[in-house]
Formats: sequence, C-alpha cells, structure tokens
Amino acid sequence: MRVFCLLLLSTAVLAQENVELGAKVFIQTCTVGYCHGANGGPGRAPVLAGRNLDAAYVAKVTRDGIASTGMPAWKDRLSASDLNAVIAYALKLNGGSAIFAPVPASELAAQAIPAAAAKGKSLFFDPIRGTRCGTCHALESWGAAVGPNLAHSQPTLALMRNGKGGQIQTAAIAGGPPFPALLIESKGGTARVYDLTYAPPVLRTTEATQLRFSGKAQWKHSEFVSSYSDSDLNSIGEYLKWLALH
Amino acid sequence: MMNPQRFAACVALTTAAAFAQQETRADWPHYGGQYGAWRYSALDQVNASNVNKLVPVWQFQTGDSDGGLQATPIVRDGILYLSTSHNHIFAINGATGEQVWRYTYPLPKSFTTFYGAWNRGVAVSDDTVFIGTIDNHMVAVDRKTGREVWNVNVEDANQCGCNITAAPLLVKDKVIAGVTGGDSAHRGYISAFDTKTGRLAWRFWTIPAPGEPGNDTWSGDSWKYGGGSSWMTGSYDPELNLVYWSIGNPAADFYGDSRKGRNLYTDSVVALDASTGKLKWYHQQIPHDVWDFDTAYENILLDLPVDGKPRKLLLNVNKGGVVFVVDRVTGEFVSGYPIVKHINWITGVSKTGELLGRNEPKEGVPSFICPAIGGGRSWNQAAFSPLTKQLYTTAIEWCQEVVVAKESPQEGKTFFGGTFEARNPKGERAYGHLDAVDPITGKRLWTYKSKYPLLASVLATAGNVIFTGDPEGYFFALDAKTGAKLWSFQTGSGHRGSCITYSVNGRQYIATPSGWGSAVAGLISQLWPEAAEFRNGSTLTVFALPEAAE
Repeated sequence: MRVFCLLLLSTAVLAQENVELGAKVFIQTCTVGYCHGANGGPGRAPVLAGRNLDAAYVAKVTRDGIASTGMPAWKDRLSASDLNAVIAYALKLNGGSAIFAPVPASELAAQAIPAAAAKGKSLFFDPIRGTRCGTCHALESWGAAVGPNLAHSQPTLALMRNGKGGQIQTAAIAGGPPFPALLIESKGGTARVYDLTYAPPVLRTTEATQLRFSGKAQWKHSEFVSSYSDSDLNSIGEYLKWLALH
Repeated sequence: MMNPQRFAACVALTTAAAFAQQETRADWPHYGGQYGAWRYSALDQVNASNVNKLVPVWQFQTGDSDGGLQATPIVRDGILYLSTSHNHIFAINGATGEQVWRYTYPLPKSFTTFYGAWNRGVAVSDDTVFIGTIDNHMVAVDRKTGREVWNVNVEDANQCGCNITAAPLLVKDKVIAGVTGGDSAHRGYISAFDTKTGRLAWRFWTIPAPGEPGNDTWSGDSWKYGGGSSWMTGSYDPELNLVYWSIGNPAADFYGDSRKGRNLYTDSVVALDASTGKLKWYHQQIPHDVWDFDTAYENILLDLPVDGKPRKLLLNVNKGGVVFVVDRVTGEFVSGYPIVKHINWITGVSKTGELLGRNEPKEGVPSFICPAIGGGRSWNQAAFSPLTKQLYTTAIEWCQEVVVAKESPQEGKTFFGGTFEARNPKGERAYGHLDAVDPITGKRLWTYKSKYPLLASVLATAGNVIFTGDPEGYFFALDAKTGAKLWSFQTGSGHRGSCITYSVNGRQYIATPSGWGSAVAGLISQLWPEAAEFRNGSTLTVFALPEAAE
C-alpha cells in the first residue's frame, strides 16, 4: 500500500511538472498565430478548455493529428517529454488530473543523430540552396520523391557527383523540343513523365500517343549538385550511411 | 513648351486610356479584375437605381467547406473558373451554372498545414488554368477539359512549412506565384514558371543572401529564416514590364532582437522585371517590423494627378491599417494615411514616408496594440472607381494584447516570437467599416459601419454600385456616391471571398462566393463569441436583373 501511494505521489508530481512545461509548449506550438486560442479559448481551431475531453482522445489526436485538417501529428515534431507535457496541459484545461498513459519515446520519429551525419542531413535539405538533394530525393518525410530512394543506399562520391541517371531518356511531347525525361507511368492512354531539364522537376501529363522517346538522355547529375563541394558530398554520404544503418 | 490646354488634353487622354486598361467588361480575366487590381467593372446594366431588383439566377455548391470559400472567380468567354479549399477547380457555364468540368487535386491524405486548406483563385490563359496548392505545388490544367498538364513541387511543404493560397499572376509566357510561410522559420520567394512546360523561369528571394545588397540589414544568420512571404497576388504594368509584389512580415513576427536591422525586403513593395525577376526598386513600409503588419495585400495601379502633375502611382494598404502610395516608376513615396481610428503602433507617417512614434510590444509583459494582428484591414481587396475617383476599402477597429517571447527558429515550424489575444479598443466595442476615401489624401467621403469586421473583397461598377458581403451571410449593395445601402440578400453563410461581375450574351451577372472560414475569421470569436456559431459553407451565388426588367 505504501509503495502504491509513493508511486501515485511521484506520478502526480511528474504530472504537475508536465502541466507547467505543457503550458510553455502549448504557447509555442498550439496557440501561436491562428490556431487554438490562448489558454484553450476561442481561435481558428476548436476551443480546448472546459469540454471534458477524454484523456485517450486528447492523447491520440495530439500524437497522430487529424488528417486533412490543420492539426498535425505532433509525434513527428515534438520530443517525447514535450508531447506528453502538452497532452497533460490540454487535459488540465479540461479539469482533468493530467494523469494519462504517456506516449513512449520509442514511438517518436526523432532519434539522436551523430554530428557528422547531422551535418550531411542539413546539407541534403539545405533550404538556402535553390536546388538541394531534397529537391529530387525524399528521406525521412522531407523532400520530393522523384529520383531514387536513397534510404538504403551508400553512394560513392563519384556517383553522387557524376551519376548518369540510367533511366532518364530523351523525350518530346507533341513534336515539341526534346527534354530529359523520367517515365512515371503510362496507362489508360495517358503518360506521365518528370521533365528534368531544370530543378525542380516538372511532372508532365500527356496523351501517351503524343509522347516520343529517342534514346538515353545526355543528362548530368553534376549540374544539379554543382553547389555542393566534395567535402559537402562526403558529409551527405555520412548521413546516408547513418540512415542505411537505422 | 506645351501649352497648358494641350497638356491638360494630353493628360486626360492618357488617363482615359489607362482607365480603359483597368476596367473589366464581359470577362473578369485576372484576380484583381485587370492587371492594375481595381476590381472595377465598366458594366452598368445593374446600377444604383435598379440594383434592388437583383434576383439569384443560379447557385453552385462546391461541396468543400473547410476554410470557407475565399476565391475570386475568373471569367473568360462565358465560362467561370472557381477554385475551392484543397485546390479543386470547377469550370462552370456563366449563364446557367452548369458544371463543364471538375479538376480534383490529388492531395496526399495525411497532409496537414498551419496555413489552411483555402485557395484564393486561379489564373487563366488562352488554353490553360493555373493554381498554386495547399502543399506548395504549381499545377496547370487544360482549359477545355480540366485534365492536368503539368505539376511542379515548388519546395517541399513538409520541410518549408509554406504553401500557396493566393491566385497566381499570368504575365505573357510566365505564371508567377508567391508563397506563404511568413510566420514560419522560412525564407520567402516569388517564382515564375514557363506556362507551357512548368519549368522554373526565375526566382526572386525576398531576403537577400550574403554578398547581395540588403543582406546586411539582417543581424547574424537571421536572414536564413526571416520570413518575408509573398502570400497574395501581385500586379503588373505592361508599359513598364514591371511586376509589383508585396512582401510580408519578418519572422519571428514579434521578437525582433535576433534579427536587428531593417530586414529587407520584408514589409516592402518590390518592383521586378517581369522577364527576369530582377529587382528594379523597392519601397519598405515598415523597417524592422515587430507587429506582424505585413505589406502583403493588393497593389492598385493608379494614374492620377498629384499636386497637379500626372503620376503613375501604386497604392498599397498595409495590414497595420495604413495606406502607402508610391510612384510606381521609381518607388518614391508619395503619401501615407491611416484607414482606422484605433491605431497606436505608430503615431503617424512623415511627409517622406518614415514611421513616427513607434510603439513596440515588450518582452514578457502584455502590450496593448491597435489594430489587432488580423489587421486594420485583412487581405480582402479594396476597389477603385474611376467615376467617383474613390478607393473603397474595408477596415477593422480592434486591438490586441501581445506578449513578446524570445524564440529560436526551427525550420518550417511556426516562428511568432510571442502570443496575442484580441481586445476591444479603449472606450468602445470593436467593429468594422467600409469607407470611400480619396486614394491620395485619405479624405473620407462616406463610411458604412458594420457590427462585425467585413472580410470580403469589394467590387465597384460603372453603375455606381459597391458590392460586398458580411460575416453573417448578407451580400449587399451600397451607393458608390453616398454609401447608402440599396439592397441585400442572405446567402446562407458568411463572406470571405471576392465577388465579381461579368456578362454573357449581353446580360450582366454579379457572382459572390459565400462560405465562412479562414484564420482571421477564427480570431473574430475572441471578441464576438457568437461568431463561433456562424454557419460554414461553400457556395457561389449569381445574381442578375429579372429578364423582363433589363
């Protein structure tokens, strides 16, 4: 009995700390701008205070979001402690005890990444470059899935620099000028190709009969990675190596 | 030397020609009507003496009411093109309301965005309809069939925390679009795409990179995530071949200590060469903004005399409730005036365009700032009538409590640097109004007072009628000369979009979107709790005079 009381007490203390942290997280993530109102009051998003919201429901919606609305899956954006804290705070707004089954850290996407790989990742998705790796390659829920999936590859520097894009062909639509193209699909009389003339790639749709291929394209990966130094590409290689192992 | 009479005749002719370029007639070809964004039609079949006989002739339900219906319909050759939340496009017969085709945008189901599902319109060329999307793509569809032609992912929306909600601007062989993200850790841009291929033609970064002029107006690395979104539609002057775009607030919105400096080109109007995207001039309204008072809204191009001399002007209403008029050839400041009574973030604008008496919110303690973040006016556009020479703009009298908080940027995530909550102004209840003002001096001809903020665009016509709608669902007409209410119709849901007028086979139609929603609509319930119950919807209602009465 004593053990049980002690456990309950420690949970309650934890919950109180959670509520205070949760209030801060709420201000910086939920009540910002045009979403939920301050203290869970009126705003663009639903009122959260005083609605007797169910603990399991609050935890699920906060963790997984609501598809096709402005409510994101916070498990992809917050640390475990921040996520659990903000759930605790939302429950407190509903007069609840702020005690609930916390989301385990193992469910969350964020993982510790070594410095070298982290540098590579920041280069891969470097927003300051108009064209970056992520313009054509998707990884870890960022980027555009046009080029090969690199999640399990460990390309050499030479390949990163001078890849030839084996599947890229020269194409023309309706007798127009030729361009380097990656065929995505051709069905029901409709063809879709990525036009890789410049970044970002353009997905072009045409009647299949209007699309003509004329052999392998003179397309160079080097033109798309020209803003990266060899040292940059080596860092990106470190990131891909780390990713392949995780 | 030209004699004064010949000079006056020359001015009158030039002005008449310029006016003709800015009026719409049978079509409503661009977001703002014509390239100069007047939202003024030369159609006068419906006029101040018969507008009270208007009847609804057809309605179109879009079926997607998330975020309301915020679009400006485009009309060409009797076909109306309407975009909805989640980027669906409908081509509709303008006379009968029958659907010609529908384009359903393939949005990934799991996608969510802070910037809302809404869309504010399409651009239409001879053969293509263009739309910017909720997940930051630009898409072209065939104008006859609605089939997709090209689709380009401008920048990954999950990473940038940005997207496109505004109508694109079509200029010759390019379609130009801005981007949201000014309240996120993001660096804004304006992109031009080749209309045929979708290939990127040029990009203007709204924040200069190191080595470029203006980068030194940002301390440290703050330029990397400094906001500067371009979230509404630009204007275009064909004679000067200049595109005019408004650039939004710097991020973090309220916390400015980590981005010391003027923060160019945020809160500026930029003039870009339409062919290359190169900067010709800029006019910054608010150096180092700490209020989130974007220079984001429409740029109205006016050819009017100033001190007796004809000038090519550009008028922009700042979110802080202040109008800035500049010379659109050079960017030189001409005049500035407030459109709201309750304004305390500055005490005024000097004769050379500098802000006077800046009242900056404080870190950690509540600051009472007027107007509220929703704006002394929201993005819904004003209208200009060449008949009355008046600007017709809405305005909102409301305030807020802001608490500034230090914040570090996390790429693509919201980056406000503080919180806010709406408050009534001192001494009176918050309210909205629609005013007729002299565009150069701000002298007010009349005021129409509204219980709630008016969040729909204004339409002016040669029939001397002003149209707009209110949050309760009433679509109404005012006399352009007096502001007297002439007619109203309950459409069933609040107004947040932009009404237009057009004609088919000689019959004039007035079309208004209705459908309550949007970010600012959400804030309204902080001051008017009953607004939380305002009905949502997404309907286009089209009016005309009964056929016998024409």
